[in-house]
Amino acid sequence: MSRQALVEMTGIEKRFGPVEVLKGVDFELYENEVLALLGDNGAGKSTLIKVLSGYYQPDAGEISVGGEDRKFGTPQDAREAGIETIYQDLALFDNLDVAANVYAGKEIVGGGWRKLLGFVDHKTMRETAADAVSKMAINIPRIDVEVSAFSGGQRQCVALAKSIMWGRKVVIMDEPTAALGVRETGKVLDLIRTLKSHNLSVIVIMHNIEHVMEVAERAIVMRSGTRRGTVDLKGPDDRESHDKIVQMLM
Amino acid sequence: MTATQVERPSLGRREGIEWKRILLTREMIVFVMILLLGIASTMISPYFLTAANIKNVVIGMSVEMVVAIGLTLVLISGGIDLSVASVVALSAVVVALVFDAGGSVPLALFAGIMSGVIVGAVNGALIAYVNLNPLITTLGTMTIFRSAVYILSGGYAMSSIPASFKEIANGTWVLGLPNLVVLTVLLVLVFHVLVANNVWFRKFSFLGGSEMAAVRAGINTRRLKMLGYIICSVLAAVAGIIVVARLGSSFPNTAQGMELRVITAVIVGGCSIYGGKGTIIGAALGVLFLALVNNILVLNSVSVYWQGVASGCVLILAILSDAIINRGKRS
Ligand SMILES: Nc1ncnc2c1ncn2[C@@H]1O[C@H](COP(=O)(O)OP(=O)(O)OP(=O)(O)O)[C@@H](O)[C@H]1O
Ligand SMILES: [Mg+2]
Repeated sequence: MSRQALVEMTGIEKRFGPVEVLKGVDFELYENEVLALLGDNGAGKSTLIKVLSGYYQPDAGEISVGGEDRKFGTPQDAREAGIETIYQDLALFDNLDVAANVYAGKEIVGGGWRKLLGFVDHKTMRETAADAVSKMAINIPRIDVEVSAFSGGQRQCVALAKSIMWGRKVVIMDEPTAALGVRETGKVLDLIRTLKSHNLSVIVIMHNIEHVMEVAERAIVMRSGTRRGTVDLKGPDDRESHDKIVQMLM
Repeated sequence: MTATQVERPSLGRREGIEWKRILLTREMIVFVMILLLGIASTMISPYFLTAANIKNVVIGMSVEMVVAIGLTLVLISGGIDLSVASVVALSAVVVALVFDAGGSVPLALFAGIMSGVIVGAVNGALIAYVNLNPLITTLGTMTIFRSAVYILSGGYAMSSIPASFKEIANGTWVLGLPNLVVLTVLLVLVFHVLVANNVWFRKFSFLGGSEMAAVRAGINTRRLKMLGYIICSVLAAVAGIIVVARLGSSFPNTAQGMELRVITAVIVGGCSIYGGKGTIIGAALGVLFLALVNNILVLNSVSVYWQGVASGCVLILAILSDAIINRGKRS
């Protein structure tokens, strides 16, 4: 494939004490692609994406984004490069409403005297946040209530609305459906498609191959800290690719 | 796309006034309770609605209300400060010591406030940077600061307070209202508006909601925590200054037990001891409500020993009503 990758990691190594968790892993993500990262428990999937999100520093290897070499010292560095990670616990403020959550740390300050006093513009924040979540595949009944009342899927929606609003290029989701029921899982798969329709690239870690086949265009399979291979997926009924993945996982 | 398309006309916009939501806020409930209590008290006691009595209640609760502001801020941020009452007494004794030594009014004010900054920094550093538990840390500093008060004062009341200083609390510079009442109302309003609207003050509710999420939102949570405790102690120190100015003397047992009274009041006013919830206005209304309850007991010559029973019952009723209102909501 000669396509220029949006994100490229080469020869990533990471060890925790004596344990070699990543043994020189290569990884690539293309523009506007939904990529599934698969592998057994302990294969090193979470560790690999944590390297990409700036959470861990690799012991060896290179990362490039948009053809530019990058070093992520902190998650903030990765975010500035356009890579947002949706954490498993979603990092939401349960005591606050959608607008406050979406704008946390990036509040819109009002004009005139409000600017002088550092007062936020509640109206604009509420309206733009409503706009952002209404683009998503999940219905949020109202945005001025605390998100503690939201379902798992609705919480994902709020977390993802953030990445769309802040113009991220890549969204990483580590097991977004792990704690969800069948209906909510379907909605999260819809959310992933929504992200793609907004020209984002998505890296998603999932254990369920059926779900992967439904939503991803390509899968990378890992095994004990190495990359087993990659498979292009042609939709939910692509038996051939399905079997290839299963084989790699064995 | 299989996205479910649902009509969302009301999203983000507020359709009319939602009375049910407004009426069920804790602030509104306490406010209505205050009105009802006021009406009942007026009918029970002819003395209740007299200027003298109202003035008594309002002046009497001012100090607790100023303390409540800072404590609420700390509670919203997910912490707690049991040392506030000791800080009130400490600042009071520091002010009195400055006057004893012949210091001026501005110097006394400065010293009083500085005592708040310093002890707040001690609480804040231990909690935010050494990662000690706030409840236990401030339990410790509560006893330490109270001892310091006795050590500094030798256990005696100090009364060499100049008249110009007393004027700060008792003067009636605005609309004939006692200064301490004006100051208290001003502080309540300013802090309420700041916590609701100011970018920096809003961070306290982020911190109280989820410390991890706050870190990920780029907030320097340690520094914020520390500053929360400093603000809390400075407000307690201001309350101490008010006490000395009002009474014209500083007693070593000033504000003894006040921390629990204030915590009770702010929880009645809607704060959560688990952090993230509460407003300054709510806390102030909680203080006012408990002050009125105590006042009506006094007016009806109920023994003061019953005041604790009353506050305790109000507190339990408050959290009970919470449980009932929140039943059916997800937790
Ligand atoms: N901080 C750490 N310190 C020590 N060992 C770690 C650390 N993080 C991960 N590991 C080890 O690295 C290996 C890979 O972990 P990782 O979480 O990346 O796996 P994973 O593929 O995400 O697995 P799962 O599917 O169970 O989430 C595991 O053996 C794990 O015990
Ligand atoms: Mg994992």
